Amino acid sequence: MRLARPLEKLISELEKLPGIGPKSAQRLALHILRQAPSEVRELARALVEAREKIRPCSRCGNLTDEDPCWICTDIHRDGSIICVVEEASDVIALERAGYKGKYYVLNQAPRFLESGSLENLNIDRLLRNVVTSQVKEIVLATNPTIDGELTARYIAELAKPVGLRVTRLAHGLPVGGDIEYTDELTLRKALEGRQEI
Amino acid sequence: MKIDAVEINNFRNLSRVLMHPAPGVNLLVGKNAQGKTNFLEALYVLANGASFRPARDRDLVQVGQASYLLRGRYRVVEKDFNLTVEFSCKRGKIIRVNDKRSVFHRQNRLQVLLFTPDDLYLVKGPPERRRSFLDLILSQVSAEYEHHLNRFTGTLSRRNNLLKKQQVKGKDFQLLTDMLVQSAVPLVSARINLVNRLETEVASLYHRLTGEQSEIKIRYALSFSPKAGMASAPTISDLLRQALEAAREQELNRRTTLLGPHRDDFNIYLQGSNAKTYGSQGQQRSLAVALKLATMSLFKSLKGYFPVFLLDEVLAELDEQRRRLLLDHLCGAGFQAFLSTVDSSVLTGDRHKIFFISGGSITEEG
Repeated sequence: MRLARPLEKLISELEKLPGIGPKSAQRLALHILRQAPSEVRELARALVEAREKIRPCSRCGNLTDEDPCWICTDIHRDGSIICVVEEASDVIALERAGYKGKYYVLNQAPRFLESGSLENLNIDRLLRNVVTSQVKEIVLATNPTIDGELTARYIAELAKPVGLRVTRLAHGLPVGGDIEYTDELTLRKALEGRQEI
Repeated sequence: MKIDAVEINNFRNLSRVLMHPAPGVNLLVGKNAQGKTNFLEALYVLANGASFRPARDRDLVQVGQASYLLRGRYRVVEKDFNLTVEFSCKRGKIIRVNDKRSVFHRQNRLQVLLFTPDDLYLVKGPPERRRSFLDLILSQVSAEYEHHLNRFTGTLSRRNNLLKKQQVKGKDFQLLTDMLVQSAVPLVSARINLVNRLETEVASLYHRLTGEQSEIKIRYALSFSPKAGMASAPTISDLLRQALEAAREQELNRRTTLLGPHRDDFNIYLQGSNAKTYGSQGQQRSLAVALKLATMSLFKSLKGYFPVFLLDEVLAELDEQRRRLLLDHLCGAGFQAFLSTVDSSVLTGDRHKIFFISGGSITEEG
């Protein structure tokens, strides 16, 4: 079936987005066609503006519209602790968790098999620019995958000789979870990391 | 664990099968290409969600149909479970346990152990066959082993990647080697443990199956040290680390990781000589049967119940006497077994059920 050229173009652009298949793309496109022109213009402006104004912070790598970002410049945050994460989305998660220190965002999930090296991970920049004299601790919050683990160990090796405390996020039970339904590996990790109350 | 009802719809050449198997031995008799293996495959898919033959789900659906549906009722540790595996080309696969949608949960799921003529080459065949024999048992009884195995495999391919590119000077190669050794240790310890446990079982089963009284020893063979058998975790870790260090030059030449659990093996000794090289065909086959049966009892001692035993055309590969002894053993073993065979005269007595398969339909004898 042939569609009007602009509609076809819109659908194929939407389809490029992650999580959007042909059907969703079509639904979204038709929805946009029904919207008021002003609303659509708002959406288009928001897309372009976000893309143009937001870039990685030159200090921590977090996504920001002002450089350095608001986290780096916030004097009320604890500057003695830096949390290393893979992606900016991890910052959002840790912010929700109430973390009050600073960040360092690698901005690329380490994919060791494809890149074959840890050298392009901006880790040197972390140690050169971000770790100042007031930093006491680095928290490694990379994912518990092989590549995440490898990255964490790599950073730990580089940071320890500098005299920093290096820690890794704990594995364990989800809060509000049910012991009965927890898989045995997680449960074992939780048992290993048990704490006195 | 025993299956007391099976329903199969539109699976391969089986359009509709309803069957109430015996708790002991079930014999599936039929000519070639009538659906015997398809029936065993259906049980296997019910348990594991995928086939043991290289086939996509779409290929398992009967020609001209859009979906297959498998149902099984089984009982384990005094509890009944209704398991359904449904696949349709449109909606994909849906698994239900007791009418609730589910993923394959480990606890109480249907467990089967498959024995095909290929497994008869367990003793004689290449080492990877024996390694995957051990890995399969250990992953089936321990999620932790499976986790370590996945980690090991992932680390190994990353390390090999660096060796391929000849980048071994960097910190990452050293870290990968550390991680490789760390994930290798639990694998090797578990395998050594398993091999030692198998030894006694295999010996007594072998004697029963053959009437021979030969002395049997099974030894795990490390690729990175002549020492084997009882190595402790710290020893394994040190040995592997040192061996990898020493083999660096060779690894660079071959561009791959040469030592580790992915190169280990185990050997079976009959009267002191390696059955792989010195055993007769018959002895090797009997040892393979003994290894499979030993897995059943080991499973029982680790999990508290037997899996269901599926034997595909194995009988045809054994001589008259060994066949009789195997069947006698199965009839008294206390677990449920499904055997496919061309020859219906193999069983006498009444502790079993016989089913005839012809053109995709199954009828019970009598």
